[in-house]
Formats: sequence, structure tokens, C-alpha cells
Amino acid sequence: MKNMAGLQGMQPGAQQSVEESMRPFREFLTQYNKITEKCFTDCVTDFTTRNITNTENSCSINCLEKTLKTTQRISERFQEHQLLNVEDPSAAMQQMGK
Amino acid sequence: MNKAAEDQRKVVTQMEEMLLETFNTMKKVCSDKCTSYKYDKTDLVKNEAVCIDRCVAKYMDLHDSIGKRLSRDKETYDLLANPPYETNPLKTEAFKLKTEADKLLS
Repeated sequence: MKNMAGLQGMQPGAQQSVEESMRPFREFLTQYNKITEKCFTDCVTDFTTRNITNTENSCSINCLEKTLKTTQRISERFQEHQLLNVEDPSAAMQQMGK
Repeated sequence: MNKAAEDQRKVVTQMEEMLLETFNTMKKVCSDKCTSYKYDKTDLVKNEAVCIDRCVAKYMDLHDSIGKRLSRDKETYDLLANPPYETNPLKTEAFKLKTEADKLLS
């Protein structure tokens, strides 16, 4: 335990929060890659040129916006579900009224 | 290493991991789109090779423009970065109720 003296200032909670604070960023980057994969696979089909065509471009923009809106809606419904069934039924009823 | 440098190093690590993910995903997507499933030769046919070149160019292009859109506002970042539930067990309603109950009982 003597060589742990240097770690005195750092409680387990503090150490965890440094790693934890990276997690949202990591999640963002993961989602970024997934969205790119999905929209590329679904929208880009013309390989006669190395530039993205206008059709592909508008498809990708729509894909991106739609994916974000879908994620938003799913998150809302999920949150309601969690409140209702797990945490706090009264808060859920309030939420669902929106 | 001071905290700022430490944090920056962590951010760089995350971005490196993401870059690897981008690369791996792009490999999968472009192989699927460009190479035939007939496997009658070992070499890439010329149009497969050209397709791959173009696919990589397009993928990185799209990756960049999506990145720009996603980092445009905080709302979008928050939507993708945080799950829609409380991840800190100490902050959940259940924990709060339990703490209250414990106080009453003690």
C-alpha cells in the first residue's frame, strides 16, 4: 500500500470520471461512423465517377436528417418507457403529455 | 503531464480508434459494392479496380460532409453522444428513493 501514496489525491470516483467523460465522445464517433456507413450504402450507387453526384448528394442529406430524426424519436419513446416502467410513473405521464 | 495535455491525448486516442473504424467500414462497404461474387479470378478486373478507387474517394468525401453536419450544433452532438437514460447509478430515481427510505428507516 506504500507505493499507492502518489494516488492519494485521486479517489476511485475521480479516476473513473476521466474515462467516463470520454465515453460520450466515443459514442458520438461510433454513431458518426454508423451513419456514414448506412447513408453511403443506401445512397451511393454510381461508380462511373469519383465525385458524388447530385442525386447521391440529396439522398445522403435526406438520409442523414432522417436518421437523426429517427434517433430523436426513438430516444423520446425509450425515455418514456423507462420512466413509466422503471423509475417514476408520474414523471412519465407528464412526459407523455408533451 | 498536466491535465490539459492528458485530456488532449485521450481525445487523440479516440479519434485514432474512430479512424480505424472508418477504414474498416469503408473496406467492407467498397468490397461489397465493387467486387463481384463470382470469384473466377484472383486479380481484380479493371473495372473493379477503378470502382474501388472511386468508392474510396466518395466514401471519404461523404464521411467529411457528414462530419461537418454532425458537428454543426450541440443538439446533434448530444443526441448521438448520450443515451436517453441516466447512466450514473447514483443519480437514478430508484437510488434517490432508496436513500430516502433508508433515512426514514434508520
